[in-house]
Amino acid sequence: MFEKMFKKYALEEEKLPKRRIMKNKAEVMRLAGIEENTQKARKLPKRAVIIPVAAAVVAVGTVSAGAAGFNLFDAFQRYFSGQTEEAETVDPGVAGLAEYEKVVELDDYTLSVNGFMGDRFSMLVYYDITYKADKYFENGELKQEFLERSPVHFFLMNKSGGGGSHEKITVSGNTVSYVQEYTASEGFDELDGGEYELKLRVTFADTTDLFAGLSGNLCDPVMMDAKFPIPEELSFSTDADILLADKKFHLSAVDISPLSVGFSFDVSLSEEDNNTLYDGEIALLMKDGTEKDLSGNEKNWHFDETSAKLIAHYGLPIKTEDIAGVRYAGCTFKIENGAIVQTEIAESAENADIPNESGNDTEADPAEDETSRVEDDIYVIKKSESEGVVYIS
Amino acid sequence: MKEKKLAEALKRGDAKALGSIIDAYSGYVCAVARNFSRGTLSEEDIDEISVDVFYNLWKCRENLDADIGLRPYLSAAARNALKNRFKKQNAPCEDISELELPADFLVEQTAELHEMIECLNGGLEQLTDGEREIFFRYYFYGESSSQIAEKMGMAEGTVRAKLSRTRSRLKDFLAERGFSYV
Repeated sequence: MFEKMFKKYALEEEKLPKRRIMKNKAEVMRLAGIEENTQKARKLPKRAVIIPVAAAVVAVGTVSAGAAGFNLFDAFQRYFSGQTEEAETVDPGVAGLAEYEKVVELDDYTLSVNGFMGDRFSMLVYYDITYKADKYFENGELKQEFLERSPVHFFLMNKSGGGGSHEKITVSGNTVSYVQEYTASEGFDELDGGEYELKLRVTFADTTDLFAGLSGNLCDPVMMDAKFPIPEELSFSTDADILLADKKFHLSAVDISPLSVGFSFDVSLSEEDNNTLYDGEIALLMKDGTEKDLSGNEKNWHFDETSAKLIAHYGLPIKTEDIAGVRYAGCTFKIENGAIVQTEIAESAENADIPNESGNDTEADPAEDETSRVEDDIYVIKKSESEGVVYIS
Repeated sequence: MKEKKLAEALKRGDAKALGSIIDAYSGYVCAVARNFSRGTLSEEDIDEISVDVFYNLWKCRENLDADIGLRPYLSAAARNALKNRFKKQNAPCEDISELELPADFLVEQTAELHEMIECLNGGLEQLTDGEREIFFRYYFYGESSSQIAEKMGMAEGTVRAKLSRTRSRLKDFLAERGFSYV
């Protein structure tokens, strides 16, 4: 009976333009990994303009063992300063920056999206909203809610989740500039290198929650989208052991992206171990001598149990060439020449006496001693010009 | 190719069949998605839903029951895609959450699908033809009570009242048979 009813009470189907069906079909085929249609699906829509910068890519670019060199920040800065003339010459798949300049002018507000950037674990969107209608103001002032959060929601194409925290909000007159971050821990799976499509949806509610009324009482939904490439991160293999809470963890790799740093462990870890990893201090060491402490803010941490990788998000983009090193759990890795492998580094941790759990309170804590000792060691990762191999000094 | 043959070919992993299904049923899926969203979705949203539906159909093709045909699957998949889309907000169409179906309904759990369909068939047989049509249009096509009223030439209030009674009867019928989520 069931299937007969579908025939009996036929639905009035929509007549869609063939081009639209073809576009959707190409996208389904691409997702399904059906080869013959892949090329068609990956063509960028006209309005998704990708403008990374060639020179910046070359400046830092060393590619080895699947890790792409890039200088995203430079490209981004250059975009903001209007120097986009080199756009045509760049391979967007390498630089990792998508620019999407679009202004939507509505009676009530203007939305201006200035750019996207992202890596495997995190995405940032830069946009301004100029509020115009009276309803957004109270006693002549912009309502506080817009200074705390924006009405924009992210949707990563074909991934669940959305939203994003607002790292930075600046106000100029009626225009509010938002920098919004959307991280893997908030809903999408870790992304592979490649191209992704991000959508922004603006939904204002006049008086109550979004979608109040159920009958299409949405106020000015604006959907925008842009495709942007997710770059491969710089990946450093390590053979380091780190000590945390009397436990030794073998650190197999350090990955650095424009927005995050990841530490990979090559053993299966218990839940307790996972939690312990959060106790390690994570800091980026900048070339100007400053440090950016990434620890102490749980929401910026994410432990991916599948890959046994601890990921710390920067929140705001870092110029990767300005990073001099990374410190995690007292283990410092100094980076030179933006490159790759390192071997046999963590002797001090490896030979550490693992403290006895019943330890003596009146004596110096051996774990502390060990940590101090490890902190004294700076492992310098250098790239060999001839071999593409990295040595430790 | 007939619906059943397409479904069989899809089950075998025939990519060409997937293409033909998209050609043939895009208008159907878009209509269902648009109905259930009550006009709150943009054209891009509708396309996204449509892509999700066909991609999920491809992913779950092995569980497809060719005998049932594609329309019930596509209708339920579109509706579930809508549910996912609105899961963090209030759904634009109250009916999506009111008749709560399991998330995988019709697409991923063949055994449960059969059981459910059998049960629904039994329940639907208890209804008059008019009640069945209203129920069907409302829950599987997402048509609003006013749309149904117009199509069937009756007052909207009558549609709502019939719907309410039908829902109640089906709920009891299905609950007695272990479908507690209805």
